[in-house]
Amino acid sequence: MKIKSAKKALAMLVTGGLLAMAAGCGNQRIQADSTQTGSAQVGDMASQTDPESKTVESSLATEGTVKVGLLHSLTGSMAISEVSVRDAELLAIEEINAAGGVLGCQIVPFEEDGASDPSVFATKAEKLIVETEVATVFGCWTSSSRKAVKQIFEDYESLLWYPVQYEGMEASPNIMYMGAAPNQQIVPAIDYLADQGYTKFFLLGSDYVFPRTANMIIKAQVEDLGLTTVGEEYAAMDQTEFSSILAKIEEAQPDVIINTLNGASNVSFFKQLSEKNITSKELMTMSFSIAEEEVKTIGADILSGHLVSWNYYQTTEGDRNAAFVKSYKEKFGADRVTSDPAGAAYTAVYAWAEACEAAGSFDVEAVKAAAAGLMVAAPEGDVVINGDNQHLAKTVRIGQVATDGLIYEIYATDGVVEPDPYLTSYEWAVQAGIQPLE
Amino acid sequence: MNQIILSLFNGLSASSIILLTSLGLAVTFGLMGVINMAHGEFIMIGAYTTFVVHELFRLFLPRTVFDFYYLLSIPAAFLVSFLIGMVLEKLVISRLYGREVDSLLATWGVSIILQQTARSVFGSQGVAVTSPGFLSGGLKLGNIVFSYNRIFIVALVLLCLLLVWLIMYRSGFGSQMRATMQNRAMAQSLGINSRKVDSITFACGSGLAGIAGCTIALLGSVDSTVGQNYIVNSFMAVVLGGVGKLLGTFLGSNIIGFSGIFVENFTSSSIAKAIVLLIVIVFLQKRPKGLFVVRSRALDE
Amino acid sequence: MKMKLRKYFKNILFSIIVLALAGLPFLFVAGFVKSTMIIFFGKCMAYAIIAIGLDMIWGYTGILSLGHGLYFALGAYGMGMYLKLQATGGAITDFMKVGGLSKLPLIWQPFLTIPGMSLMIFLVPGLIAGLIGFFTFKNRVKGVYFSIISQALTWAAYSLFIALSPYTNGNVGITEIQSMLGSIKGNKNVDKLIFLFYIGLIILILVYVIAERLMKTKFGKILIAIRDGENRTYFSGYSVSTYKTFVYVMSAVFAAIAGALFINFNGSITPTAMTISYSVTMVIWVAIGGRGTLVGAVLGAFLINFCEYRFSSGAMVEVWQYVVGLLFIVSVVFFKNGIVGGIYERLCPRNE
Repeated sequence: MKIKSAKKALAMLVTGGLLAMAAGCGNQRIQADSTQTGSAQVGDMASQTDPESKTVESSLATEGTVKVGLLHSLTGSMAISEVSVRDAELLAIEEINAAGGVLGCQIVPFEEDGASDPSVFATKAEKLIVETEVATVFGCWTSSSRKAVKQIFEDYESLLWYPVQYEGMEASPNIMYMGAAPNQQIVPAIDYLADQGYTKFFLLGSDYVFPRTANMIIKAQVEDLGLTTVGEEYAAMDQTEFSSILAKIEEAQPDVIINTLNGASNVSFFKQLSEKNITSKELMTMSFSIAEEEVKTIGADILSGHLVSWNYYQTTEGDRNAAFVKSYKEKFGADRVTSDPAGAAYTAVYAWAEACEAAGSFDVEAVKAAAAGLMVAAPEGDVVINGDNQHLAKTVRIGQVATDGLIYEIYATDGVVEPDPYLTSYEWAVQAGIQPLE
Repeated sequence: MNQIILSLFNGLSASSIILLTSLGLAVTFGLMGVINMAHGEFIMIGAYTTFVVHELFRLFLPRTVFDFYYLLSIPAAFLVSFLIGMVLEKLVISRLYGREVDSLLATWGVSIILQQTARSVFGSQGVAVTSPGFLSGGLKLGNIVFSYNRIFIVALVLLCLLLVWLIMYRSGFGSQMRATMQNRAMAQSLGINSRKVDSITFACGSGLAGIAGCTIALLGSVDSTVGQNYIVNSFMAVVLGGVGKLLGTFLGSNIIGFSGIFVENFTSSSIAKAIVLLIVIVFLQKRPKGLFVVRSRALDE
Repeated sequence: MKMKLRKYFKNILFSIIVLALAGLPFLFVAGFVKSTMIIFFGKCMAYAIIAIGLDMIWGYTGILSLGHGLYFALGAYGMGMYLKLQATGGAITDFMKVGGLSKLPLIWQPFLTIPGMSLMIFLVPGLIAGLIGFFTFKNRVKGVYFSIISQALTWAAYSLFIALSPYTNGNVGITEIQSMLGSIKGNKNVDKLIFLFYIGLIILILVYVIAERLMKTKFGKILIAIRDGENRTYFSGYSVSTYKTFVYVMSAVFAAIAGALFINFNGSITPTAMTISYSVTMVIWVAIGGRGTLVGAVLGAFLINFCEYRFSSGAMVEVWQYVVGLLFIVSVVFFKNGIVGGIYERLCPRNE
């Protein structure tokens, strides 16, 4: 009898807890949506039988607020990287709100969890655009999540601000690419290495689209420069055992390893590389996915001397960056570090805000039109939004990891490099036929 | 020649890691028929314990003794995982005896909770654990470098294996454990408190996973999802080796470890992984209960 | 009256669910729900279909497959490839070109036409399931061993699909495709969306009816007998492995159908559907909803996914993870019969 009543009590507790949560959640939602009930249907494509569109401002920004969506993986394997990006976005939103908001409206962020699953990203993206009716979305990290939501943003004519460097070969009219295109990260890095006298390249990456496309580009570029690719290996996404790959590297005897490993694999690879007494003096590596966060996790002593290629480092000079780093550390903790994706996400929010101010509205088409050619003062320096392909013109910086855990710039391009996601301006790329069909 | 020696050493190292992660699982599965899907999370707990000890040494103790954090973290990881395992057993596992399949599912729920707890406590990003000085670098013999990390791990695994064997086959508690494993009802009639044996065994299995986590911290990143990478291989090693036999698990881990390394020499790691898994599955068709079967007259073991 | 209720309880419950779903497009047209709800419930219907398949092998037969996501993914990839080839007009796709292929590989050729694609969606998962089932069950691999093997299988397939990226586009999967009826997004495609939704609903009803009828026959009773006392069934002369293989193949085909339906609503498929946690999550739906009741699986799929849709946002994300883990533990340990089973026992207790 006692057991039965205990079971009953437990059942009621769990149900009660769930209901309370649902009610609490519902309350939150009601408060957030109160700005929406009574306002007209948004002029977006998913409105109901009455497609009459009222002016967007009256519905997206009633009662002095505007809704934006934050779509990142907060659980699962990608949470390791994406949380710092979301934090940077929240920081930017807080600062803009403190300064008066956008067009007089306070920004209200709606966070959704992508759970490291592109299908969930797709569902949540639709939810943000159609149900929550956000003015724009900041989000995604992996190329698979971006590709899963690309069609959705195009179908519903919304806008996604994508903060991560990626493999290029894409220029969706509804995505603003805040991270580096391959000609702003990969191509200059290979040129730099060639100038420094490295001739034998070993390509190591995780088995997914960014490394595969990057390596395709690198191989064509290396060949064009008259140098050699001595090896190309792909590790599984969650690989922790690199002994075989290290053996293959030792056999191939390269000058430099071009590293496009992802996430936790980087940690395993470098720790196991150092086990073999191999430092940057014996074998240099150039990485495209290692930023300050990863340096912290791997350990600065293991990584010191190795090279990376980004557009932004925490140590980049400039008042804008100094202010950004200071606020970031104040809000999230002194031992947190800023990285290129975090900087790009921060820039994305400001870029959107400035574009809205320039356009005088939150309507996606107006914002895009205002964004074309817009110059934004970013932590990485001044960047210009390219109206043709929605990418940023940015400075390329080669950095070296130092023993204090930060990355210092050792080379930078003279000015900003125009984005060329399809590499159409590079003779060797066009000849190699890298461009996709569509 | 060098290649072969290096491959052998790498295979040995990979096998030792798999053995360490599956030893605890083999013990609990063999005894209680409970498959603990949260086993990976106990590995994670061990890794995070190592991190905590690492931080305590770094912040509060002088630099000269820093390297000894690792020696302390091994028993610490064992203890923490042991205690959490015991709690888990009392709360959840003990109610699932006889229901093997349900234990799979319930422990998956535990795994979700433990992962989220790790994220809430330590943050979503990985944490850094630096190797102690005496384990950095490697031993250079001729052209090949044998890393000290891996030599240490092999030694540690052998030590653990020896200890487990000693406990199981040379101690009083071990006889109780084996008796309960072979015939629970009979053991109970002879006065053995089978519930106590179960809790301690499960806790020991979890503790072993904690020690595995200690070694994982040296080799890779420490974050909330670190356990997920090891569970499939551990399960395969346990099932391949046969339930309840240490030798079976030992052989199973070696098969998976060595074949993985050797196949990887010829193809990419993703395909190598798939091939190894498929080999194991095909093998299991021939011997469904694994390499070594504990023979008994009962029909439904 | 109670006897009648007991006999038809599950069907009544299912009918209520179906009616609610059928009424959803009306709510949409009237403006009470948005189009994304329709799309989302479309995906939930796909999940419900695979949950029914899972319930058939787990709830009724006692085979716990922790790798059913594999068949789901196979069905989705099959349909996805067909839709992608429709978009490219039968020509080679971009990822194949990047991978170095110059013409459409043989493996994807059957997916150029609807009959070819439909056949493959039934055939490939069915064959694979048949092969695995045949050998595994004949060798009397059962219980946790089978679960672990099913996990290993889906994991191996996951690695393979990523490794063979010229053929499958690796990690990114098949993306940027529209449903079989064309685009379902946006104002001008409302009728296509509703039509697709009803197609999905009809498929769900069909699958449920087939499963339910089957479980009521002697075949179904034998499955229950296998679950509850495999050896006795074996000794009574029934070829247990044949029954198991048959129901396993059937559930794999249902899973493939679910996958094919899913991708029409989702617009993309990635190998993430072949990870272990995806497959285990499907089992969670069945466990919480109520195993062995079919309608419980449907209810569980809808309920858990809807809660996740609502609750994994903002500050609730962490809490939701704890809730899911706890729900799972509690339902498996204490409430073996799940929600539907529990209600069923209360409403119509056995001792009458």
